Amino acid sequence: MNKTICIRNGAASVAIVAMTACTQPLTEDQASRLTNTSQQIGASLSLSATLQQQAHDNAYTTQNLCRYLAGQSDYGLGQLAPELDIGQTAKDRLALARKLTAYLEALIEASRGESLNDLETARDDFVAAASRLTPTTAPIEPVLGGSLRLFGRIAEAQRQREIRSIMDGVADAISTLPVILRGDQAAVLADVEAQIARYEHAARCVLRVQRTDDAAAEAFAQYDTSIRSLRAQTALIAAAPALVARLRTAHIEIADETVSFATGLGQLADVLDDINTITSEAN
Amino acid sequence: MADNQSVKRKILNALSDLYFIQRHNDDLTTAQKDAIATSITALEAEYIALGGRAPDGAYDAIGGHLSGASASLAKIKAEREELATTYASAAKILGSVSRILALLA
Repeated sequence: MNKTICIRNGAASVAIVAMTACTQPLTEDQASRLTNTSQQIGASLSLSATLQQQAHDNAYTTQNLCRYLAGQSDYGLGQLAPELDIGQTAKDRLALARKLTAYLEALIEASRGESLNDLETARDDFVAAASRLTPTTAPIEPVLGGSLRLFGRIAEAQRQREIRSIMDGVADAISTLPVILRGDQAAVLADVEAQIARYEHAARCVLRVQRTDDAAAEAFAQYDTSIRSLRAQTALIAAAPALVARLRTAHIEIADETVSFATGLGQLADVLDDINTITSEAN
Repeated sequence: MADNQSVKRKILNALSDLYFIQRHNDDLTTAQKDAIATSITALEAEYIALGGRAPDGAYDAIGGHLSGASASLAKIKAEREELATTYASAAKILGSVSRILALLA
């Protein structure tokens, strides 16, 4: 629909500018897929902190249960686990995850078609009001409407160029991130594994005491699932460097205009499918 | 450890420059392109081989740039919305004016 308006705008020299800004930069469907993607990338960066914390909390509760079952009196009840020092790397990754997610959300907001639609509706209302003002003279709508639409499209093309240039800067800024992530991956995974191992140790203690109990098999299944799920999620941590590398490639393609804005952002959304594959294979 | 950190920081700086040249220099010969790609691969391997944690501030620097980019993007969106609001209030004023003119006629 937008395209036909553009062509009617006439002037061949500006038609190209008008056409490029005509299409909505990002459809609602793409926007929602991208929101998922950015959340997943954020999750893969923050998991190093959250998994450690989760395993630490579970370990604490399970250790208390073990003490209780063993007939000891020093078990804690209704207490929070002592604060865990998750380590600088996990903190750094967590902080970066928040900033990266915020950036991707801002990118989606700035690129989505919705605000562009609002703008066009408001402009058309304005043109309609202006036309009603001069009912007796020559109709104002075609002149005013046409020039405002053209003006709007050029301004929109300018805004999209700005978005591309911001993405261009981000592509350079995150260039070393994949190798940084790969570099401290082993240390991060070791930290996470250390907490899961503490949890597993406590779980084994509970199961040992409980072996003769009716509920032993049920408890076993429960710990088995819980520990397996924690280990499975570490696969998403391992995927972080590759995901960030894909993110950079998508930025470069959009910034260098080797693909259209919409296509590039759509490809970015495909990253989500990869993450789903990784997590479902891990489970 | 401190030495290891400073070596890693130097490698990251060099890598950052090389990625930039690789992306933005259009006049490179094939031999130059190959040399850059080889250096990148070697430096990446060297960085990984050093092991351990990332140098202090490595993540922060990237995060800082991302926050700046978020702010610029928010401005673009705000600009669009502001323009829409301007159109909407202008339309309202024109509407009132046309009603007054109708009364005068």
